[in-house]
Amino acid sequence: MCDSMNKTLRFILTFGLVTALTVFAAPARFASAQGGVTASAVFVPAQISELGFVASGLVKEVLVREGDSVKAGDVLIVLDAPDLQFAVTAAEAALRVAQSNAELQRYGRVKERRNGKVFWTQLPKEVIEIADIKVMQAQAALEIEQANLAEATLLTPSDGTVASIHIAPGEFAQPHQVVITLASLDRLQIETIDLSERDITSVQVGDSADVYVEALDETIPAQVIAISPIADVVGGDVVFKVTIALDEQLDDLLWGMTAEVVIGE
Amino acid sequence: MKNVTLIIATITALALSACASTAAPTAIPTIILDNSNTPSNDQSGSGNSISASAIIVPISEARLSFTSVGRVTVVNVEVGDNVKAGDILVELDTTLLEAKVKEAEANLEAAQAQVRFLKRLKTDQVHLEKADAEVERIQALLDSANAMLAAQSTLIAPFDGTVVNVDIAPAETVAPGQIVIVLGDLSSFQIETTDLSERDVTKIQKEQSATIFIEALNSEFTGTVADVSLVSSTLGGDVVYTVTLDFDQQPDGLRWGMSADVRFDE
Repeated sequence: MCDSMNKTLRFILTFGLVTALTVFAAPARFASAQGGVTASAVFVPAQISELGFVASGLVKEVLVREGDSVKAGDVLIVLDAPDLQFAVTAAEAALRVAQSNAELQRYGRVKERRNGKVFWTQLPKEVIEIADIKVMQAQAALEIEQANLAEATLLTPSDGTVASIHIAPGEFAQPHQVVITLASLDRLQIETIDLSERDITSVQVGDSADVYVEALDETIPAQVIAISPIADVVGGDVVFKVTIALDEQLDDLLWGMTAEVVIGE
Repeated sequence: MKNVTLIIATITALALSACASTAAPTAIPTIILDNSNTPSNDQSGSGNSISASAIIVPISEARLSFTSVGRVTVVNVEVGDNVKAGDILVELDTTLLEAKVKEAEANLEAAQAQVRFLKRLKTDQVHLEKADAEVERIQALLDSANAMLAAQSTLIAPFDGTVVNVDIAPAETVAPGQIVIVLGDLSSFQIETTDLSERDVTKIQKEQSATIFIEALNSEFTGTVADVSLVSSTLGGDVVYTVTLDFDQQPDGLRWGMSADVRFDE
């Protein structure tokens, strides 16, 4: 008797519990989806250029310092390349020689005997033609040497700030080694680092976001501008990088500062 | 169906334990935990279905790099751009290569002028042959310079697809083999298992159907085994084989790298 009573009671209790759990659990999940996606993020420049040389050589001069603002075309680092400099000088001289030679061929005359009389005639036209072609050849050779010499100078590709310099005068620069990093430090944006695959489906490009900057204790409005099409794996979690642009730039922001982002409220 | 079984099992267990003990509430989580663990058994006999973790990948992907050292002048694409086969993605500085082509062209012209000259003078055959051979030699050098310019100046999309990663900026240098662009055909995705053990791989056949649960979309899809890898890889000491599955119907909202659980049907 007690047994059957107990059984019924337990049954009702359990059923009630399960139902309650289901009912409560569902709105809780729904609410979290509605409340926006939260993620940790880090500030990075909108553009980063990690520059290096194509050629190798000793560094002769570093003309900028970390923190300098540079304009497109500014010289950053020069390699010591006397051989390349002399090669250009030699090619320039070779071009002048070829030009003079072509000129000379025009005035050159050969003796020709016809019917017992002596004529002075111009050089064959092919000889002059070949001398002209030799000028073009010397011109191209000069361009090659100039291009080689140009590789010894590192120029600023576009306006930015010198973020870091990884080489000093007298050091050897290898081809493709990053010697200087330029960045657009006045245009920082945010990249999420732990936005899970479960949340990525509710994030769209164009979504508005709130960025809480811990270092400044300020919240800045922002907008999602890109979602990575490929996942990264961070500590076993599948995450997607979402890039967010600030509506306005704050002066005190620094590259690498952390932020908490809430996307799409 | 599974849920119903689960609830009935819970209730039955509760009811049974109810009279013996008064600590009923603690029994609930224990039993639920046990039940939800059982489907993922992978060695408890051949009667059960095989499960594996998997990852979503595009049907075709390419990690593109240059064949030579060079300096980038233009990056024409950014992440997310759709490109067509043959589109130029990245361009290198070609000043040097162009000057070399120019020099070779001038050399060729000079050699050709020499041949014309000898022909007009009606020179003997031997000298003419020598000049002709010289033209051929220089033509070959020009072809080589042109081929170098074509091959080392641009990075071209090998197939229609989406730019998934760009690891290069204008004015940066590239080295041979350095991956600068990752391209994927994101119009259709496949599934690749990551932890299917050697003990289970023998039971998987091509054309076998499977149920695919995608965590990010929180829904199930059906698929078919397209390929079973013939070579193993290791995953933390386990010998595993990659099984590739096609979706019977492509779900929307998939992204490269999302995780999935695959349950192979009997």
